[in-house]
Amino acid sequence: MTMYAILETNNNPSETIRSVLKNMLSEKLVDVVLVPFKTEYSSLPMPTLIADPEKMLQAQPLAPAAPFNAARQAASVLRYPTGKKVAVVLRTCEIRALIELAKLKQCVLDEAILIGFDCMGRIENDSYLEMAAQEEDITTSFYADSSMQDRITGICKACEYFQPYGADLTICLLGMPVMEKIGLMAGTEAGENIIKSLGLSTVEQPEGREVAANSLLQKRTEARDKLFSETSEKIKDIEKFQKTIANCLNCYNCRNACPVCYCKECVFLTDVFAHEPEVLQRRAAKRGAVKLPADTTMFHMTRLAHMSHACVGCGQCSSVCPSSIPVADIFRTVSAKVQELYNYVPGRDISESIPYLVFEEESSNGK
Amino acid sequence: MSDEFEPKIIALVCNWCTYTAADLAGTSRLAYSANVRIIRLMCTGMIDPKYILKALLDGADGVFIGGCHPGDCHYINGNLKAKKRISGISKIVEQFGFDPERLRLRWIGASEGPEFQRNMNEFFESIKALGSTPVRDRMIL
Amino acid sequence: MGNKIAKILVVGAGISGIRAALDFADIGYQVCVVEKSPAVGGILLQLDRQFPNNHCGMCRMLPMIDRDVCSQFCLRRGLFHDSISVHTSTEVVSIEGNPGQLKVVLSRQPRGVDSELCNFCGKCEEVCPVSVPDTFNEGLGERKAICLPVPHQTSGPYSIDWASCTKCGECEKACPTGAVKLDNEHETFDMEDVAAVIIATGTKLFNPDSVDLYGCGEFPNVVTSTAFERIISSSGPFKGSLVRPSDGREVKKVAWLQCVGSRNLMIGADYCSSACCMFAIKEALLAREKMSKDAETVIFYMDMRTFGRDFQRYRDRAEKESGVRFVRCRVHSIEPGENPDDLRLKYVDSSRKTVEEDFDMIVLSTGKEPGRKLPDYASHEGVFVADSAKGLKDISGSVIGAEVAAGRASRMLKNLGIMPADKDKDQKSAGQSKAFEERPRVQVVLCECGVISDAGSLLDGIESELEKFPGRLDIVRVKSLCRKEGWDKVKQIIRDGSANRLVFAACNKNVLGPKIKELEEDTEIFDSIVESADIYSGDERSIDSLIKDLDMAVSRLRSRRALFEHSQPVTGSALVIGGGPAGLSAALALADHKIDVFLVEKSETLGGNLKYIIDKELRQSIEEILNKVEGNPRIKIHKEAELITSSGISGNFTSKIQMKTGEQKTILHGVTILATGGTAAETDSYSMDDHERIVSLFEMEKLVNDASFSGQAVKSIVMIQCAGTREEPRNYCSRVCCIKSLNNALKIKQIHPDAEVYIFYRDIMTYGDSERIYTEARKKGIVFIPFDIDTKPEVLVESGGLLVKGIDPVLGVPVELKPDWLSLAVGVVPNFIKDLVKIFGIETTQDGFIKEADSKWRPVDTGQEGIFVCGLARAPARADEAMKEGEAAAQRALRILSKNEIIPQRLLARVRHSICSMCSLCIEVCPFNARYIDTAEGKIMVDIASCQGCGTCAAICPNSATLIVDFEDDGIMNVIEAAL
Ligand code: SF4
Ligand code: SF4
Ligand code: FES
Repeated sequence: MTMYAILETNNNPSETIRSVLKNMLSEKLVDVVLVPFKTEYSSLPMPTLIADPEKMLQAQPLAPAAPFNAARQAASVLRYPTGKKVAVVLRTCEIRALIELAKLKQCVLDEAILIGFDCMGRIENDSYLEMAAQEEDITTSFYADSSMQDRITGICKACEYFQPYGADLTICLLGMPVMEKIGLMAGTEAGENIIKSLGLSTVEQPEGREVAANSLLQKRTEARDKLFSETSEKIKDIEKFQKTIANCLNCYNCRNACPVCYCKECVFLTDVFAHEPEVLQRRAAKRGAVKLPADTTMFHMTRLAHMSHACVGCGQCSSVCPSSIPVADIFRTVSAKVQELYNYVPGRDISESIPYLVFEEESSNGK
Repeated sequence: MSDEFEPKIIALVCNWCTYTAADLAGTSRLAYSANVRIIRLMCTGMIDPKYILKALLDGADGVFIGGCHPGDCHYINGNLKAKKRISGISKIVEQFGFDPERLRLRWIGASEGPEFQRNMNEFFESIKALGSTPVRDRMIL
Repeated sequence: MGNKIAKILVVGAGISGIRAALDFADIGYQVCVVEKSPAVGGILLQLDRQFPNNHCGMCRMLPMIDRDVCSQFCLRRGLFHDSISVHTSTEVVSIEGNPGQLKVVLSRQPRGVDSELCNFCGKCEEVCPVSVPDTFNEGLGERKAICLPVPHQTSGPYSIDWASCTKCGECEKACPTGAVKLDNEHETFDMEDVAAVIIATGTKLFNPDSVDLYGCGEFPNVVTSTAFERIISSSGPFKGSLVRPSDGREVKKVAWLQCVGSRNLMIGADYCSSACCMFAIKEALLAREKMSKDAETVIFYMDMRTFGRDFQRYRDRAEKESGVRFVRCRVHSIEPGENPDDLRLKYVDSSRKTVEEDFDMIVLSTGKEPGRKLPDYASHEGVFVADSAKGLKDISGSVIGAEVAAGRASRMLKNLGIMPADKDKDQKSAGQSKAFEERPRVQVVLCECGVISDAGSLLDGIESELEKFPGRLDIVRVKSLCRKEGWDKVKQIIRDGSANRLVFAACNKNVLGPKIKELEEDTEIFDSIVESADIYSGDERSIDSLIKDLDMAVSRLRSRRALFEHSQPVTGSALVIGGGPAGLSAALALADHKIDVFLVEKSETLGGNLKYIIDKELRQSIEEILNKVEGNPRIKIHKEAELITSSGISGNFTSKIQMKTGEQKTILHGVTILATGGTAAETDSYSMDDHERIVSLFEMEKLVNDASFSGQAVKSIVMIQCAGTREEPRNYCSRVCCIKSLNNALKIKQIHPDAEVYIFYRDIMTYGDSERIYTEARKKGIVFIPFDIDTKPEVLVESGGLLVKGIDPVLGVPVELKPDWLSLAVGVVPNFIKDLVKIFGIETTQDGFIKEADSKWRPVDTGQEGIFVCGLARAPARADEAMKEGEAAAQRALRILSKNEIIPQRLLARVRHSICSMCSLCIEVCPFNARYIDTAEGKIMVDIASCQGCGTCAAICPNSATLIVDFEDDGIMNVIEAAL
């Protein structure tokens, strides 16, 4: 049975979470907290590592924005154990990416307290800034006014992984009158200990949660399937695909933004793709003409080959593309097939092996 | 020369078994298409997904991958690892309109020269039936 | 004498011969292999797949550390090693002189074709008018008098089979290169200063033609097991489809008859050939793969001798999962069936009914030929005989036997002060890096070929295309590369020119290969910067297609990089864990090679199971070794000590042991040998614990050998074999019980001639020469009662006495026995070593035996390079066998210990640390555990002794932070690009 606590919100759910996080710090249940944080200079919340409980005032744990996928930042704090407890407040896709990074030995989660929340999606950075110019507390209005929730990114709308997997604590918003109260659910023993230590009284999980989750799931799944079929159309043959990526500048922003592309240096920046003049000239001679930089298609397909099993669908690649190429749509669409093939859900479970590390011991000819 | 479609095939084969079988087919004068280009690798486990993508994007009509029978791999199980990886690649390229039939993985042992010939011929025919790669005559970015 | 390069002669190029030759080459000796037949590989040339896993994997015998000196391809196609010279069609005439300086006289039969000139075009074969049954295919199909004796071996040229050649001269006329010489004068030559000789001539198989019973030779569909191998081989006469020789009809029902030529006193074969049972099961399984679902495979046998560690489960799978039928009986006769091509077997089945059954085909499981003796020179001093030359051995047996022989020879040489030549530390590599420092300059050499008529215009076409290539490419034409003049010209061009890469456009690479080797010795050019493209063999091809081949060759060369230089030092000492027979013999073998050994034993005494061994001879041989070990200053013995940690890589381990006192000691060693042994198993089957007169066969052995036994009144003794073994969960044969029980039985008969001795058995496993004990036991009137796993005898303890119920095999009626003693063959189990398994990261079988790297080809290696296993820790074994395994393990260890350092080979993984993200996927996928994290440096490292360059790591590394030298990603992709 999962442990569940109800927290009053008094029309300010962010404040409620802030005080929980603050208490965790001051009660020394954790040593530091990584949480979105509004700096004095911009309204866009940036992942920030907080040690002083007083600094928690500026935290924006539930902000419907993510300037980038913060899994990388979390991983850098958790690169190896330091003997300190680190709580990280992340969106679902960020937690999933973090778990993938842990499988790739980019971080160790033993000392981490993963805090997730039911994700209602994020708003693109530029729209968020625009909105922020008009409105002081976007977060509260975002949860109070469901029409604002339609302004989330297309990829968020198509995301069926809105409930955190494997989090120690989940901030439950689904099915809750968020302006009155929200839930705090422990998914692990560590999470339970925190709820107990904070002295929160526990209750049965309210029924509304599952119902709300199912209806959201249905909506998201429909959007997802639509996205898949529209995107498939855009890439379904090499001609269409070339058109879709024709404006790619080989800036590699997409790969830099990708939380699971963990390479220190992308192979496309190494000597492997730094062709000798002989190669380029011979290529031109054989094909008549070669666009430079070369290997644009190769780049996108290789990235799929490397990471599609681990794509968490956070959509950051699309967000950063200067040429508005629907990178995320393509990734999600293709990845869905690969993940289905391997029966693999990235970030589902840290003990689940990366598909390429497990294989049948014996098999008969070919196929 | 006639205009008939002659598929261009890249065969990525492991050094220990399938390459040996190819060589045996050669010395036993077992003929197959001259448009098959054999690339010897030490093991199918060495096959990076990039190689397959490269071949397809550079205009190969078919990519044949040949390794040792399960259990025979000189490096214990490179072939099984390859199989897993290739199944993923095949799924990916399929989304972009490459018929998965253009990618074929088979186990051919060192003494199976006739098997190698048969496989080449069968693959050649099936590619021929599929027709030319969608990449041909296109500018691939 | 020390400076002279010590040469070893190995006679026979089958599994044992190759193993012994490679063993010597691995530790630095020059080796010469002579083989009577025209090809290298022995019986394996005819077998595609072998038991107990139905795979081949012979290539796993090739050197794993010094790979660069040896060709890297299928061993069935020939053996090519810088330190091994092979003479086929050659026999030893005599051996004289003293060990260390033997003189060997050899006689060679010419092949009739000059290997320098033959380019495998096969024209000779086409014109040869003489067709004879194809010997390679066991007489199935035909071949010409001039042919490739083993079609898949192109290491030698075409050969003339002088027995059938009529010397008509047609081939001589047809050969375009003038390679044929119709002269079959035997040539005798001497080999001086041979340090030692290993006889590894293998065993000849029994020819069933000589016995009418089998109808072999009379009925075309009765074939030997070797012929059956050829039938199902894809390179065989029927291209791998299972059809019968007489009419080519698909085979639907096939039978194997066991013990053909073995266990047959009438032909003087009082032995078991040991390998045929498993061989037959394997063939039946392979056949089933080829046959339709409803087809039948039946094995007729007397005892199914599945005495290897995993053999019983193999048999069970064959029976239960694959539907192979096993019938225990002696077949009375083979006659033509209804349809004269069919064969009718008459036999008595287990219910004592006479059955007639028709088959499409019958396979005779032929064993070793009886009465063959070793040549006189085999007993010459300095000559060592591998086990497989004495009797038929399975693959692992042959490998171990060869290693033992090689080890004993090298111990002798060490004693005589003869050492392998110090390998001059890679001068070559200096030249190599120079070639890579500069920008690639490719020299293309086009062969003008003296044989092909219109080569000129072809070359014009090629040349004009090559000129379009960007980058530096020099093109030159040379006349007939295959002739000395042509080749000298090439050398001249290389010496004069500035090229640092070389491409040949010529013919067959089998022709060029050896010449390129020679080039490497004469010039600065070495083989990894040479590529060739065959533009002449095969059908006529378009210029475009030839250019692609050349483009690929050029691309390959352009991407070649320098080797990286990091050798790994080797600590020249060994840790042996376990002081039983296997461990003792391993320790002594190493110490005799002047290697320091740490011998760690858990208990307070050395000897292991010696304390239970009663056989006098065996005891003596173990005690002898034990005394030598105890007296050897190189061996440090730690009794009552246990290993607590071990870390490091092959060549460099650091381990800690803890004494009973609690004192700890750190040991630095280059290799580890695990000889942790095993003990008698316990069982609760057959009411073992309910009566004091129910004892294990080990206790029985003690009892019958005790002086008091003759004073006992003994009327009847029952023995039950396979008590609690050969069925799950302990489903393996313990190998020692049958022989022990029989010996006990004989001893009882000797002391109490009137006592009745009954042995209940499933299969009597008296393999090899121990069959004699079985024969004798039957002669002495010991009663054998077979049972199956579901017709086990019943043991009851009644009113203080014992009652054993079973079924009389002859009459089929129940028998009730009231023995004075009941002995149970409880078998053996490996000692419990969970902790060690964890420390060393090695694997065990489900029964707790340590798994070898490859059960056939690398039986005493574990999956972890530098860690070896022998004796009962690996598999059930008799003490004498365990001791041999110990020697074999020592011999394997010597490959590492004989080196001061391990030199990186060309084909190796290399990590580019600056871009490595340390995701460690490579560590997880590496099949050889060659990768590890250097925690101090925070880097992924490659153990160059273990890495085989398979490239699995490179394929999983997403950003090419790991590369395989000569197979770098950019190079391969450039080759792909060139190919399209
Ligand atoms: S070169 Fe001569 S000997 Fe060699 S295969 Fe050709 S014809 Fe026969
Ligand atoms: S996986 Fe890499 S390190 Fe391991 S053996 Fe293969 S090439 Fe060497
Ligand atoms: S060596 Fe052939 S597949 Fe691995």
